[in-house]
Amino acid sequence: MSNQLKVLLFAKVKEVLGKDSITIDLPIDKSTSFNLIQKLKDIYPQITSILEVSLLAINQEYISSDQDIAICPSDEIAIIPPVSGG
Amino acid sequence: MTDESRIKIEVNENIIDLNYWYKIVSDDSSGATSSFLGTTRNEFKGKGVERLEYETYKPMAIKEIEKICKTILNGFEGDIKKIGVVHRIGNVPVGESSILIVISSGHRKSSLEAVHYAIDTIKSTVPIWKKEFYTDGSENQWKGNCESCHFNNNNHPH
Repeated sequence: MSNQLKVLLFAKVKEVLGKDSITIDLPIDKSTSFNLIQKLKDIYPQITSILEVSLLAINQEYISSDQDIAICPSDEIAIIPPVSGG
Repeated sequence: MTDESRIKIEVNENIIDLNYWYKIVSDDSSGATSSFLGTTRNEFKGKGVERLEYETYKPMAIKEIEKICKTILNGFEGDIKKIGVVHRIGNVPVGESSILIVISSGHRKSSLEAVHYAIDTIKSTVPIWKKEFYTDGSENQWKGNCESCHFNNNNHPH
């Protein structure tokens, strides 16, 4: 059994992958933020360096990069590259 | 007054209307209105800039700006009256503005400091991104604010 997790993409990540969201499969017992990032790096090595400096947002709240939290398919997941507003 | 009625936030593609935003924060109990207006500059490190293109994760951007506004209302010795923040998205040519922060307060010190805190924090935490387009046709670049390494969000109000 696996979870299908939709991940929203922005800025350079969106541009490099050429789409504004992707769906990632993770086993239900491994659906965590650390595993999601690792799987993204495995599937899309071209964004590894950006992921190193990006944060995840779950339900529009930043997740600290040292925090491995459980994610479920109903969560709104986004990769937030270094911001540059203003 | 509730916090919500003292805060006005917009993130959209419209040209920023200064008069509108100054009216939003006007208040009879305010003796000072301070502001920051961020504008597209025509060069970056000697390279000619033609325009900036902004993108956002809008619902989260509004939430993050709201957090900053609430922190401001609860700090600065309770002297802040009203706050307006507007960020323009999409193309912003040289000479046009991408962000306006306007804050009214009882006395000048609190709103001047609050504006400084607001722009520094917005630049480091709000999910908005800009891409720089150059006049020499060289490859456009996604920017990253130096404030936004995501690892040192140590901004606190005074």
